[in-house]
This record gives sequence, structure tokens and C-alpha cells, in this order.
Amino acid sequence: MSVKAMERLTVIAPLCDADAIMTRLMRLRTVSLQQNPANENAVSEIEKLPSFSPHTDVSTMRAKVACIEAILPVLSKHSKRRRGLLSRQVPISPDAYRTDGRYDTACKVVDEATKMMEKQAELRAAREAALARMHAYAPYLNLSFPADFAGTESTRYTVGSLPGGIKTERAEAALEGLAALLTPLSADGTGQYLSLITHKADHEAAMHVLSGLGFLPAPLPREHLSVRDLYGRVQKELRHIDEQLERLENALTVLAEKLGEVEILYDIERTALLNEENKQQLRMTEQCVVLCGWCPVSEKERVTAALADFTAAYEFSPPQEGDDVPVLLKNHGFAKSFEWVLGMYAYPRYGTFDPTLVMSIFYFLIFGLMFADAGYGFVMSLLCFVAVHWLKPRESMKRFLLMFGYCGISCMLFGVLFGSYFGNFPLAFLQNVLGRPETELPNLALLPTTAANVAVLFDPIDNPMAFLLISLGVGALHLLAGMAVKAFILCRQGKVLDALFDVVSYWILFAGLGALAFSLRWAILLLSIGVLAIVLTQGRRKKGIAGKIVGGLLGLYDLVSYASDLLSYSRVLALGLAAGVIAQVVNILATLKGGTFLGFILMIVVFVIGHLLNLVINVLGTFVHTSRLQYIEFFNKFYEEGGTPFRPMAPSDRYTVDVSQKADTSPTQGTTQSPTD
Amino acid sequence: MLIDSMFTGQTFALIGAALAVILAGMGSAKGVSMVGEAATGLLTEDPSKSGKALILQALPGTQGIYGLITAFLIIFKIGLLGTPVELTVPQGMYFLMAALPIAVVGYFSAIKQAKVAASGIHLIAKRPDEVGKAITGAALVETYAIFAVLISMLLILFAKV
Repeated sequence: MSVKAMERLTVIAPLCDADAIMTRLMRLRTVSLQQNPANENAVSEIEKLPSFSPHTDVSTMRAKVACIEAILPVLSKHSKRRRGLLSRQVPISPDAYRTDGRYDTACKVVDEATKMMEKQAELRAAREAALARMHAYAPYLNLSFPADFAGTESTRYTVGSLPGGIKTERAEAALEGLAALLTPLSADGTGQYLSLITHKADHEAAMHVLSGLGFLPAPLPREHLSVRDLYGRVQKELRHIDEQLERLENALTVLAEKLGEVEILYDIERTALLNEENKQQLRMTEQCVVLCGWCPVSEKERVTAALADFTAAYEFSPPQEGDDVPVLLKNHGFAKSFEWVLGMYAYPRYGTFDPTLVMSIFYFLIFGLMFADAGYGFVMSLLCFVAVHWLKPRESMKRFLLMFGYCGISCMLFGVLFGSYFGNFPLAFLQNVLGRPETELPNLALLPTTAANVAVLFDPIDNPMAFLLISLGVGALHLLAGMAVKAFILCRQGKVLDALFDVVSYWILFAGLGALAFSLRWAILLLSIGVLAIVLTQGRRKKGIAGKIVGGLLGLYDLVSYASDLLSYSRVLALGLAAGVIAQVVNILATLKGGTFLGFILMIVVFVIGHLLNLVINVLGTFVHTSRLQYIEFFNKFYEEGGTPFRPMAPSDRYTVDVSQKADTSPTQGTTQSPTD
Repeated sequence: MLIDSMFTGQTFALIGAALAVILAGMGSAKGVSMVGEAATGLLTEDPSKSGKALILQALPGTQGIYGLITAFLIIFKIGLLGTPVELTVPQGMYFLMAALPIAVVGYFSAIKQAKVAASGIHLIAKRPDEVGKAITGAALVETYAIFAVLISMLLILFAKV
């Protein structure tokens, strides 16, 4: 119920052992390095030492990782293999990998791919340039003179374009009085293309006039070739470039078969880079490096065993007052799968209450109630559990899927209670496809009912008020649980009186409100005690009599916030009805054509598409709103947030999993990151 | 006579259903596009955040669905898919009024929610780990659309026709 106990780890080792120790600790995945000064009040002597600078070229390593990172998407685009979020990690042993030649092979693939990509970029630029030239030559294709023709002895010849808005007549009018002849060649959306013959003497003047109208000389090369030939030459060039590009694409496709090797190399190189970056966090003296970090108490033995192989002095010490201790949650099985929901909000501070277990129970309940449908729940659970079992996804993805798998079970349970199997599909099938009356529907109801449905309790669409009461009832339990957690925390801190004043007094009041339904006498008694207790105690931290009275009355005002918290749970009904009504619509459409063969085909198509869509929409909505009920309504009763998640040093594991030290790899599984990463 | 036959109870009920779809749908369309624009900006920089961006973009889309549900409930209730129920004008007006909460609140809350979600996109651009807070922030706005659709649905489900 509380986060894992941590101890501060200090290791002092000779400079020459720094790399070996850091590599070993990294593979343990259970030691985190201390970021910044751990305790702002007391900067230790160690923290005043200079940072360790291991003389390795980190920027080259970084460049190499970046280079592989750039290649990976290109190769995977050319690869036949598809890789999704669910892909498995390849087991790999880094030391063997570096020596058995696979490392060198992969490096060669990377070099080759890099060269190809550079060549590809070059060719693409050349292709763009050729296309631009073709575009520029196209309007002058019908020119009968060679491109470099500039006129005869006494004339000047120019070709060029005028902007689209200028009419040729206007240009001719402007040239009035000069010995100049404009001949239109062609026109397109952007302008018109002309040739201009002038007398030598009038050339300057004519050009001046035309420039004023926006005349631009044609971008033709000074070559003794017709424009048609020039155009043909560029076309040939373009074909050649395209051929080369195609050959490169093919070569990349061949190279993409080695994608797996490059992925492994990525993790190897990134692990090396991470290790260097970790080393830069160390401190050093003339002969030694000093490591300051954190380690869960439960992992002390493994760390001790690993450090025993080196000549190193080390010490574990409990955290001091004011230390920023990283937080590792301690949950198992069911509740562990809900840790990431907590992580999406904020981690609890070190040493405070970890609400994951309580939250997971209510998450399970509320999710199922909000999306109560046996059909959807079954599909959800099936997909999630099958994916976990067959695809063996990485830890964070596995937890993500497991949580939705468990929630699917809850949906199934509530679906049976409220008679929802893909909405009202049993009824729609019976009536529209089999053509039987609704009275033939099996009656599973525990309580006598006249409505035709298969609900064990009742159908929320027939009886929304009863469902609203159940929603609010679960909400009330949720809120009371939040208050109980607060009372528990206060008692654990020895503040029993605070628990009595801040929690129990409100409970008495709530009990009084509840008793109104049964016995007025008890209700008045409980309400008076509750109100009195709240008014008398809520102002106890205020100064002065007036402050105490106002504080007490304000404490009573908190009832409004409890009421609004409670009403917030009406969203359970709204989202539940929404899912049910859309499912009904899908069922109506699916069974529209009745029991014919065509109708059967239509039914399957509409059923699958419609219900899949409804499932996706509602899983998202239910997830968001169930989370919100936890974050806002539940957590604000007690939660002390603000912990830094424990992120131990660990090898890069995007594609591989390090199996080099079997004995060492029972990883602590630090913070499970959000799987959408 | 013409006027009488144009404005039956059915007509008013259908105006309600139409308004629920039109207004809530307009709000959602605008909202989703607003977040979509912000998300596209983010994805040009970092395509790997598409999953998170998509969740935020989908959030203001729910109002449109609530409008659709309300319209369907009205259609069910007045029997347009089976045997039509004769409605008096006041009964038709009842359905029109019942549709108004989700029509109006749906329109405005979708756009307001989209503003929060779009800022959420900027939040995850800088701090991808804070996606939970971005989603929660947007979900807080949606609460009011949920309350509106709840009242619309309850009014329609409890209608006596």
C-alpha cells in the first residue's frame, strides 16, 4: 500500500573500473542515478566534486545513434516485415554480439544504407532541377531558332515572357514608334511567351519598355541547339535519374532484409551511448569515481553481489529528511496493471500512500458499469489477452493490454446483469430475423418484470432511474473509500484526532442524510451531531474566534463539493445509455432485411463494422471518464502527488532484450511508461 | 389547413431531433478540426506522438455522438422506424425542448473542449509524459455535455406518448 523503500547508494571505485561497474549496474536495471542535488538544504561534499569526464567521444556516439535512427524508418518502409506496437523484443547478448561478427556486418549495412540515402537525396534534388528546367523550356518548344540565337548583324532577337495580366496588344502599343516586332509563341496560366525582333539601335529602348511591363528573358542556355533538342536532352537526363532511383529503391529493398540486424545495432549503440551519458553524471577525485544513486531496499542483495566482483567501496544509507527520493510503486498482479493509469496522473510522493490497489478495484467496477455489455467486454478481453499471450509484447504494452483485458471482464459481468449482449442483439435477432414475438425471449430476471429483455437485474434503457441510483451508489462508495484512505493516512501519521474531525464528522453527517429515508428522529440526531462536529472543528487551524467560526461554517460548505462530486457519477448512466443506444441502432440496421440470405450477409457486415466502431468510441470514452473519476473525484480526497518516478539505469530495449547475465536479469521493472510512447 | 398539416407534433419532434444532430455535430466538427490542426503541427515535428494526439483529437467528437443518440431516441420514441405514433403539438414541442440541452450545450462545449485539447497538444509537444493531464483537462469540459445529454435522454425516455 505504500511505495517501495529506497536507500541511497554511494560507490567509490578506481577510475579504471568506472566503465565495467557502470555496465554491470546498468544490466541490473535496479540502480538509478541521482539527478541534481538530492537535497537542496544540504549539498554534500561529494556533490561539490567535479564531474567525471571519461575522455570518450560522446558526440561521435550520438551521431552514430542518430544516423541509425534516420536509417531505420527508411529500411522498415522497404521491408516486407510489419512492426507494430506489439512486436516482440529479440533476445541478445551484447558482448557476444560485438565479437561474433554480427556487429561488423550490421555496421556495414548502416554505412551502405547511409550512402544510398545520400545518393538518393542527391538524385532527388537533380530530378527536381531537371523537372524545373523542362518546365522552363516547354513554352519555347516551337521556337525555330537555336537557343543561343541573338540576332543578325542589324537586328537583335530575344525570347521571354510577359505576366498573364498584360495583353500582347498593350505591349505592342507600348513599343509604338520603335523598330520592334513581337511574335506570340504560346501562353499558359502564368503568362504568355513571346519572341521579340528589334533593330540594333532600338533594342535598349524596347527592352526598357518591356521590362516596365514585366518582361522576363527566357532562361535558355547559350547553346547552339534547338529548344526541342534541349528539352529532349533533359528528358533523357530525367529518365536516367529515374532509372538510377529505381535501382536504389531495389537495392534498399534488398538491404531492408537486414533490418533486424540494424535494429539490434541500434540498441547496442544506444546502450553504449546511455552508458557514457550515465558516466558523465558521476563525480571524480584524482584516483576515483564516485557514484551517487538510489536502489530499492529489496534489491540490495543483488547490487551487493554485483559490486563484490570489483574493487569498490560502497555504502547504503537511508534517505534523509528533505531528500528527493525516487518512487517505485509496489503492486502485484491485478493492481500492477493499473499502475500506468496512476502514472498518467502523477506519482505519489516518497513515503506516502500508494492508492493503486484501491483505485484498481474501483476502476474495474466503474469501467464495467459504464460500459456494461457482455459482447463488447468479451471482444475486448479476448483481443487483449490473446495479444498478451501470443505476441509477448514489452512490459509496458503488456500492462496496458492486461488492464483493458480485466476491464473487459468487468464489462461482461455487468453486461449479464443488465442484459446487454452487443446492445439488444438477442431481441433484435429474435424479432427481425427469426420473426418470433419478443415474449419468446428467455426471462433471466431475478425480480418480477414485464419488460422483454434478458437482463438479470433490469435493462438500463427501460429503467434509467434505477441505473442512475446504482451509479450514484457506486460513486458514493468510491468517495467514502477516498475519505477512508485519508483517515487511514492521518491515523498512520498519528493524527487520529484529525481523522476524527476531517473524516468521521462528515460521515456522521452523511449517515444523518441517509437516515432521513428511515427515521426522522435518528436523522435529526445524527445530522445535529455531524453539523456540530464540523462547525466546531473545521476552524481549528484558524486564528482568533471569528476565524474559527468562519472556518467551521466553511467546513459545512464542503458539503456542496461532496454533492457535486457525487452527481459527477451520473456520467456512468449517460455513457452507459450512449453505448446501448448506438448498439441498438446498429442492430436495427443489421437486421433490417430479416431472415433472407441477402439479409444474413448484410447482417454480418453491418454487425461487424457497426459494433467495432461503437466499441472503439466507447472504450475511449469510458477510459477517459473512468480515469477522470479517479483523478478528480477520488484522488482529491487524499492524494499527495509529486513524486519523481524511479527510472533505473537500463540498456536500450526498443528492439532487443539483454540476456547476457541471466542471473542478473530479474529486473525490478522501474516505472512502466505510458504505452502510447 | 396547409399550416396545420405542416406543423404536427411529429414535425416538432423531428425539428428537435434535427437540431440535436445539427448543432452538436457542428460543434464537434469544428472542435475536432481545431484540435486536428494543432495535432498536424505537432506531427510534422514528431510523428511518433500520433497516438496521443489522436486521443486528444477524438475528445471533442463525442458531442456529435451525443446529438446522434438523442436524435435516435426521439426517432425510436415517435415510432418512425416502426408504426408512427400520433403526436399532439404540445407533445411534439416536448420532444423539441428535450433535444435542446444537448443541441445547445453540445455545440458550445465541443468548441470549448477543443480549445483545451488543442492546448493539450502543445503540452504533449513539450512534455509527452503529461498526456494524462492534457486528457483530463479536456474531459473536465465534456462533463457538461454529458450532463446535458443525460437530461435530454431522460426526458425522452420518460416521455408519455
